[in-house]
Amino acid sequence: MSARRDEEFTAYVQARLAWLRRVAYLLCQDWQQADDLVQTAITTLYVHWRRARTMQNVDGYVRAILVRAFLSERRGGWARRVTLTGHLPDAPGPAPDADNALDVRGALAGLPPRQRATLVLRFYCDLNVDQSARVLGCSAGTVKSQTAKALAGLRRSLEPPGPRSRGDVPARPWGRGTGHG
Amino acid sequence: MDEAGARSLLERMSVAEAPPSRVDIAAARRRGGRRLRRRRWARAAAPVLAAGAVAAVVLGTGALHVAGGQGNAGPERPGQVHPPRRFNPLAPYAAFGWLPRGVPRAAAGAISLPSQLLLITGSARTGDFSLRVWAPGTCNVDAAQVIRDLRAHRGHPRLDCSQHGFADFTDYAARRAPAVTGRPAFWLVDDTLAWEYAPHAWATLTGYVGHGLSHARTMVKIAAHVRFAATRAPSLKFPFQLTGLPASWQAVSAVWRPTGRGLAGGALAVGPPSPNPGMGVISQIGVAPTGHSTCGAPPGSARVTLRGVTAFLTLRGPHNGTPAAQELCVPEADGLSVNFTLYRPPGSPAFPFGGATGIFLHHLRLLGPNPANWTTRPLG
Repeated sequence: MSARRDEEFTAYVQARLAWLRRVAYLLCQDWQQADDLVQTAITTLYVHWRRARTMQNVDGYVRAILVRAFLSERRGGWARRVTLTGHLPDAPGPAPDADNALDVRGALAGLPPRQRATLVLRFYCDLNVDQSARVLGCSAGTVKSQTAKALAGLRRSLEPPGPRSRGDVPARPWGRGTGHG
Repeated sequence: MDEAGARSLLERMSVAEAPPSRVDIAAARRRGGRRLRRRRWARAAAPVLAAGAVAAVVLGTGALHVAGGQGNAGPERPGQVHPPRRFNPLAPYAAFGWLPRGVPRAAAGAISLPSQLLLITGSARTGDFSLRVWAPGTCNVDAAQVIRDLRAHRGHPRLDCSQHGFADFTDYAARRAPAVTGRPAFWLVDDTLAWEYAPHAWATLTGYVGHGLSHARTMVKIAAHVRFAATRAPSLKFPFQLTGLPASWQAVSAVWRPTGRGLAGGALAVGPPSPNPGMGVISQIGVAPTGHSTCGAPPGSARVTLRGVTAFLTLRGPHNGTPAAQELCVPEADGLSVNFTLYRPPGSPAFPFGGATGIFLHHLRLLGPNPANWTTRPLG
């Protein structure tokens, strides 16, 4: 690999690192795992950099590498291996998290990996159904069904328990607009 | 939760405060570079490994683990290595000594040539390493010259150990490394460790040491524990023997690896001493217990019967510098399957020995599927 291509690769990764980490974090729900995933992805990218650098959409290419590595690791049981580090990988920030009451992260983490990946591709990366299908290596119909299941799963996880539901999130259809507290 | 809600949720989560990044771009380049080099090596080794027919096979086993088995006189002491001018492909000259915990000492893959030995071990999870050892005089410079060039700031001195386009190695020295058993050593530009293990004889170690370990310290320690002259006598075992070949003929390359059941896969090439190492005249000889071979009937092959045994013969014309060849596949003979490629020597009007079928009928002795009957002398 020539020095110039090395420089190009390094410059690209440095410029896109924050974005890659965010996507990886949304997939993994853990910053350490996210960084490991990004490390794997950029290593693969380096192997294919000669071809990747000529593509019109390098971001899309590396995003596909990232998602596929994520799903591959989950299939391989990597997620079952536990690394004890002695510190919590992502401690809560000093400011209160407005979503704590609804346990947003838990809801997303509770989704199966493929559903989570589908949500991230469709609604964070803004890919359409066909584009997502290509990245995930499945049919458009599967993407649609995975999306529907994922949204249903989030809905179930985030739905507040009955009488304490907020007025704008009715717990029961007949409770709509009643403003029960 | 609808699509808009999911979008909002993900957006909010994505702006969560991130800890400092642990991503190491330089490490990605190093590991990616090693993978690229292995691909290039694999492509260059294709004539030996499989130029046409696949040689799926059983070759020797166990000897690489053992420094003192079967006629071996033991490895040479560090700093007192006296390598031969040409390696014997059937007696692997070097072996890993120490490796980080979890990395197997037995090579996962290996190829042995008269001028070079390559050992690969490990995995992405445990750490992976490839060791290359060259016979004296194979590479273009000696350590003293590299030191002079580095001191004189004449860029990165080139270390070129290419062998007529086969399994080429070219890299550039970046800076001095700690001495390896008292011998001069250098870090190459991609963090490969290169050292002159004997006068005018180089070795290189490329590796990924895994999380939590110091790359430099680990690499130097591995290098310092490499055992040279690990096997002095031929130690790869074969389930066949070639007979009646010219006395000058020798093994020109051997590929092997250990398997869980003690069997190793690889290929053997034999021929006269050649400026084109690895090709041989009879190449990719693979003999394996029936059921362990991928020998089949490739497209364009002719079915023939040899001593009552079914065989498939494929003729290949010269192509991209590779000479004309005959490939013979015998799916089952005496409990073994056999396949090999016979190249027509340049300038010769005909295939020697009566062609591939002549070799099978008159020059190949099969020793059966029982490893106890195999031989370390495939050239009888």
